[in-house]
Amino acid sequence: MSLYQVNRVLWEVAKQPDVTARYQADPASVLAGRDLEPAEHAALERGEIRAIFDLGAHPFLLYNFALRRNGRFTMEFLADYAGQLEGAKLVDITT
Amino acid sequence: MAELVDVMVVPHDPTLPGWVQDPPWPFIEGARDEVQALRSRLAEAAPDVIVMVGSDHFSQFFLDAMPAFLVAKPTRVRGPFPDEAAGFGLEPYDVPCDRALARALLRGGMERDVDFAASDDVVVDHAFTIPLNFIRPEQDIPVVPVFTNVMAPPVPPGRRFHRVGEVIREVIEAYDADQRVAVVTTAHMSNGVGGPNSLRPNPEWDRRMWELIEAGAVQEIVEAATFEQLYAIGSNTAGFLNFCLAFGVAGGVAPTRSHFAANPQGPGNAFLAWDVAALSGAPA
Repeated sequence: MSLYQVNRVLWEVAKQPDVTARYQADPASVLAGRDLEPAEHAALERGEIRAIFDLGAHPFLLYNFALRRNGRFTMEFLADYAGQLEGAKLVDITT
Repeated sequence: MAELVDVMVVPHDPTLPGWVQDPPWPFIEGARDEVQALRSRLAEAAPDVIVMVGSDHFSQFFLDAMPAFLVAKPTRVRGPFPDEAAGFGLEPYDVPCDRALARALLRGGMERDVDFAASDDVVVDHAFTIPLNFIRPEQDIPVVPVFTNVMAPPVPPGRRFHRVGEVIREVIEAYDADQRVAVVTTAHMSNGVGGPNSLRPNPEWDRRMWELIEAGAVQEIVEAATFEQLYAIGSNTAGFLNFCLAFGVAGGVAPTRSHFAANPQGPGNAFLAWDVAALSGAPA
């Protein structure tokens, strides 16, 4: 597991506008050269919230990642986000 | 010597500043009224400086270097970050830092076994700007920002937050300056934002904890406050740890003012305040 790198990608997409733009245009370009396991790479390339969550990514980083991709907070955004995690169990997020 | 003139807990829910302008639900009206009340209280307390204790939401501190407790002494206390301002429509905050008091907290902490990390270069995120804009929108009182890690495990247990609060008060009361100091912090009740319970608070846990908070049952609060216990209640509930710090500052007595604006569809918002009489040990 290279959870640090998973969290790092979520963080950079959320907080660095140039990375946000690159990820939106071509997710693989943001992942290139990073120390990611195949399952981590696949989940991040597809931007699958549930899969990234189940890998043990930090929930707040994942939330900020989704929020930045959405652009701005709305209750509809939050309902959609929570819906993608319906039934998920909290896992150990220690890196 | 400096004097502690007010201690408060003020929420930082980023949706709240917009909602209190035009409350869409009755529980927001309660929060709006409490914001007004605490603003008036702070004006009456007339502090020369505000020590604002909040938690960075991975806005700048990350897993490459995560301070457990940090005192900042930037020239200006500015925020929030552009993505927060854009995402939630948040107002900016920009005041000078009281760097002399910040240095006193750093030195005094180390003398009392609390090794605060230090930074001369921070931006304060919404955990700071929202409470400060609620209680002092005039932006005319210097601030010392103190950061606590409630996000990235390993996170110190509640008793350490409580001790840091005690030390902050000890340093203020030993500080050789004719200053009136308010300490403000911000804390979560059950909060699942980011996880499957993003829209589901835990009302039963909130009710039980709020009773303990209103009773000033510090030992029980501290025992309930480890990252692992709080995370299990909701992925973002560890923000509760800052209540332990507030009780440390307040000397372990019950708050003299409390309001919990419970939200059926998300995290509630907690407001607390301690009167000076209570802080000095006199009957409230």
